[in-house]
Amino acid sequence: MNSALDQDFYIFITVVTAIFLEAAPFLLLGALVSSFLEVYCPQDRIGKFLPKGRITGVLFGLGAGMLLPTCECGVVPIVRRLLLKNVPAHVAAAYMLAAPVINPIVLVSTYVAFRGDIWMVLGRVGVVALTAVTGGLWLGRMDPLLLVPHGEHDHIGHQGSDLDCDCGLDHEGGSQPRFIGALAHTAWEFLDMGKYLILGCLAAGLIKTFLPSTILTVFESNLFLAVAGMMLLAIIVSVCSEADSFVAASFWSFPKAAQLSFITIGPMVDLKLIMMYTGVFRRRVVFVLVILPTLVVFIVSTLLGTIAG
Amino acid sequence: MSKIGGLFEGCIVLALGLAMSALVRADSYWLYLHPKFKWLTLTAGIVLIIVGGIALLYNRRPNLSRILIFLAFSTLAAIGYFLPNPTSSATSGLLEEVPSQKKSRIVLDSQEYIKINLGELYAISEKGLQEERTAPYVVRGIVKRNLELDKRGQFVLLRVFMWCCFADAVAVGFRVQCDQPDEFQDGQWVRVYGRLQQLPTLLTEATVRVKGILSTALPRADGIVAAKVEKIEPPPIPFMFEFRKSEPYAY
Repeated sequence: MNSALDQDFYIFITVVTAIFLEAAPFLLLGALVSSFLEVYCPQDRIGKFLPKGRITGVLFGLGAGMLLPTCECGVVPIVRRLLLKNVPAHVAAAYMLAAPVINPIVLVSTYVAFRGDIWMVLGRVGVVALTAVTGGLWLGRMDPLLLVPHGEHDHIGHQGSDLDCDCGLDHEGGSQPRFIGALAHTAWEFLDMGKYLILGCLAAGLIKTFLPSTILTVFESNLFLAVAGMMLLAIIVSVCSEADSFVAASFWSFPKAAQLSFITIGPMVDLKLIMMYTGVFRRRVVFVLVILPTLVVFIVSTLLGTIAG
Repeated sequence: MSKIGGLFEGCIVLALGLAMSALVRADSYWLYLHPKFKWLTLTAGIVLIIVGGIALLYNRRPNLSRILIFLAFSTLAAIGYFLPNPTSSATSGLLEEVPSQKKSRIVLDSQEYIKINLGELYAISEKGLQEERTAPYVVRGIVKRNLELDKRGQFVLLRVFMWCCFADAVAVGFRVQCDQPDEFQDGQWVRVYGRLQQLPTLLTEATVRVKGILSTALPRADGIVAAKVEKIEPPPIPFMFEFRKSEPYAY
């Protein structure tokens, strides 16, 4: 191998490993929460604690990230489990889109990265909230179990079912305590979602390593191109929502609206998330989860950029 | 088959947990993640060891795609870990800071220079107080040259700042005005003594990109007018991780 190729290959491996190592603890947390929800929380129990109205439910989902903060990698397995537990789709979808941003850790990191620019924080919250509300109301029209493939067969339901399930837990109610079962299930949930995380990391690593740097400078002088370019970059590089503000702030030659689009689209749509969505949701739902945030973020960001001049 | 599959998948999780726990103690952790996350990686590693170990107890049909993807990733990560790093000019990692560097200032020709890293100096350049902007500083980083800069008697001093992981690291750069920029080669580590001063230029970040790093932050107007530039050995850990707002700076 020549040295340039050697260097590219090394950078590729480092990027892939770094993204995985950064995301893995949060994915594991998501798998842990999901598994304990599955084992300890009977079907329909969660729904009893949720607001009944659609609007109030979406607003509840919007703010739930303040109570259960998680990044975009951890939120997907939790939401899958919530949907299988019959949590209304509008609540789950709003939570999934909003929680990676509307949580205390990310809000503080945004404030610090943009050196106390409160408008960037409010802009980020506003755009993500708008997307989450729209997404929640849109997907809320569907039955929660229809959002996830095999939703009809909650494969770790273990209500004495004799379904041919591959989860490994004892369906006859066997000798292992439920706590141990939940821990074992965490391992499989982690492997299940980790598979998609790795595919996303590989895609992000490839593009990040081999994308010519000069491409971005083509975009920066025009607002529409700048917003589109930064959104594309956010989707490709798959940076964690806790760190993406620092990356966006370093693109100071881009309009603020383009920086805002970077930090709003990334936590809702990026390569690793698209892979995870694909593994969890039906194709129609994945389509909505990718297209809707892309449209909302692009339209609102360019509007804000035009107004701000 | 289900026994072997369950065993194999449990082993993958167990091995991943062991690898993450071991990485925390490795010298190269900083290459992937900010050292402040060591506790998080270790915690995740321990939890993976526990849940992976418990998963070994259960029968489970294997999922081939899952196993193959994790094996492919583990192989890649192992190659990256054991291969020598061709992107870093850092040496063995055993270099010791000379005693004078442990102080927050360095004296050169009877002038005290405040030790600071390029990220901290960038913040001063963008929003610093007047007395901070006019103080003498000493910074270190790698040299980046191109024809446009050579014509102006300048080079760019660069250093990588990691917020969370390598994927979101950004480079911070300052143009340095000095007498003989051609004495230094691309990638050479140098220490620069000087002061901030406006150095108008049309330089864009794309022209001074660091390979593998997402973007380069360059101050809008300021550069460093150097009193002296000296070649140095690469620091044991070339990245910047810390950002302080007052002296003693992280350097």
